[in-house]
Amino acid sequence: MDAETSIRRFIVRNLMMKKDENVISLDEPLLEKGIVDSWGIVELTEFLKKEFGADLDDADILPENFHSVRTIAALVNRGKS
Amino acid sequence: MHYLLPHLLTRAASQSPDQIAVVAGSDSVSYRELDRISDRLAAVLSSHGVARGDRVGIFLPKSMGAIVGIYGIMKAGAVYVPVDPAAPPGRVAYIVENCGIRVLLTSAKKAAAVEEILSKGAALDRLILLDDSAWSDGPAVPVVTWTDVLGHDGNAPVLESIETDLAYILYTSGSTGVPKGVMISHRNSLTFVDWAHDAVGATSEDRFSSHAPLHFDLSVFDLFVACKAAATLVLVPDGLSSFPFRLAEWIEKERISVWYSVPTILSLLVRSGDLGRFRYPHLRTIIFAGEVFPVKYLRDLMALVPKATYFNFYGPTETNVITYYRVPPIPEDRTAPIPIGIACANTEVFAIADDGKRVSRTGEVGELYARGSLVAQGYWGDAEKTQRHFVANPLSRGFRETAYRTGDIVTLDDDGNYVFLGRRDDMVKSRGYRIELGEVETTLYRHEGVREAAVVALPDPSIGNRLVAFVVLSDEAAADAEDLHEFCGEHLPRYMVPESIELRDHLPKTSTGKVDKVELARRAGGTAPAGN
Repeated sequence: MDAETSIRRFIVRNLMMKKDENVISLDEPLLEKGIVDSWGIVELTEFLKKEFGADLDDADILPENFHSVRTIAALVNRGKS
Repeated sequence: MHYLLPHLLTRAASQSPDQIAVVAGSDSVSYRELDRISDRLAAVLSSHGVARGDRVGIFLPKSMGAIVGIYGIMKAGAVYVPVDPAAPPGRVAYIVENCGIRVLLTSAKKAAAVEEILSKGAALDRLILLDDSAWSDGPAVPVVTWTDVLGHDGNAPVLESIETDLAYILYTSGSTGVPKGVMISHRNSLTFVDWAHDAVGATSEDRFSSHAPLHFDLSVFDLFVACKAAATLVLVPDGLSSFPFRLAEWIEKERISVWYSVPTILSLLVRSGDLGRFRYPHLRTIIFAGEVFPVKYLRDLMALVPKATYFNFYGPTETNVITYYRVPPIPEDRTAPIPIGIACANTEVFAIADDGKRVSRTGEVGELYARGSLVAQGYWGDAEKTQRHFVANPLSRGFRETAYRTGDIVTLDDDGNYVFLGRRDDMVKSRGYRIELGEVETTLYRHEGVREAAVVALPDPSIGNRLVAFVVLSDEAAADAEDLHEFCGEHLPRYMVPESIELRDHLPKTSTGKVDKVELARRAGGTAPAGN
């Protein structure tokens, strides 16, 4: 599974409590729509570290990086290289 | 003399009219403007029939408009009812119905949620929009726009309220499956506000952070202590607390001098905010409340912001704040949580041991009670529950008076401070929010496929407690754990949805036939369930 797919699945299932992954698009504005709140960020960050071994600093946890599934995946891919 | 919360605003507006009252992003209003606009809103409310004692809902994120709404409602003699803007529509509809809200202050940005609330049968007569948003498809009830409010030329009604009238109702988790509305009078609130103003030495130079949402009682301190001092209230932008790295920058840049929040946010700042980048020269007071602050993070925070004075405030919503503790330097080897402290002004707190005697010596254990003008008027529309918690003072001699049974088990330390030990029921705290495990269980039982459900809270260093639900499905049930998770998400606020739901063939029972929660917690990886 690629990063975008598994990040979207985590958000939909764990933060939105929904089953159908298509309820959000890859570009859905997660913060603006309140889909990911402060606790969501903490859970999501833990997930990214565990799932992808992403090497994330405090300074990576910024709104622009958590805008959408696509920007989160880009952050993870940067963190891996 | 002030005896109503809106008097604080009227006085600040006459004494410091040009002082900035509220900052929301790039927007700000002076005390004069806030007073005038809230007068207009009060006039609008009054022209639509809102009168003394009526409940008016606020259903929008914390914003300049919401602050205007709070004062406008109280200036109309009415009671403000702040509803979690992220709550599921069914829960909002319940609150609207439960306390008879007819007028809702909201925003067209909440249009979809409001339509759903209306479709669930909420009997609203009118919506008032507190921002520039416009409703595209007309909703089923008449709408008053922000332009209408600003252009209204009537005068604010003469305020006839008295200090025992209700100022606001705050809904908290209820063990029987529905939230309960805590009724707070002007006198209850002002007793706290007057005390807190003096305790922190608030002045008009101060810049207060406003972090807690309006439906959470911590917001009362920010709103009204700042107003009493004619200080500036700076709203923490929506979503910023998700990003501790940025939040630390914001505290520095906004020159916040008084910060108040749940410990969870402060722990997050310590762990992920890289606080050491700044010196926070203005930050003189840091207050926390709502849950136990893990000592190691508190000690780290005090090292990173060494000049600030630290207070631990304690009190359930039903009592505002009843005790406080000014935190001294914490020794390196201390691991025990800090005390909740001693009583605030105009308040008496005492603990009653199992034998009915008052706790008076170090180490004795009992349930904490509070009496005095801080104690709320009870639960809206629920005389039975009110009588159970707001009881005749067991220590009273010769005259009748009410004391609130907190359900919190405490002891006394060597210095006469109360120390919180745990709960005598199934209430737990997670992220600073009160959660009745019974409400989560009742919700699970509402799902047709659930035969048995038990929810346990596992202590968690970062958020206080983590909820795990154990469920036995009925034989014919087609549901799985994800369905139940989705079901909880539709009926409960996010912070009450269990982190995980585990399906079992049966649940362990104690010798008396009750679900063995200690055993469940042990199997779930915790040591003992908090809150039992």
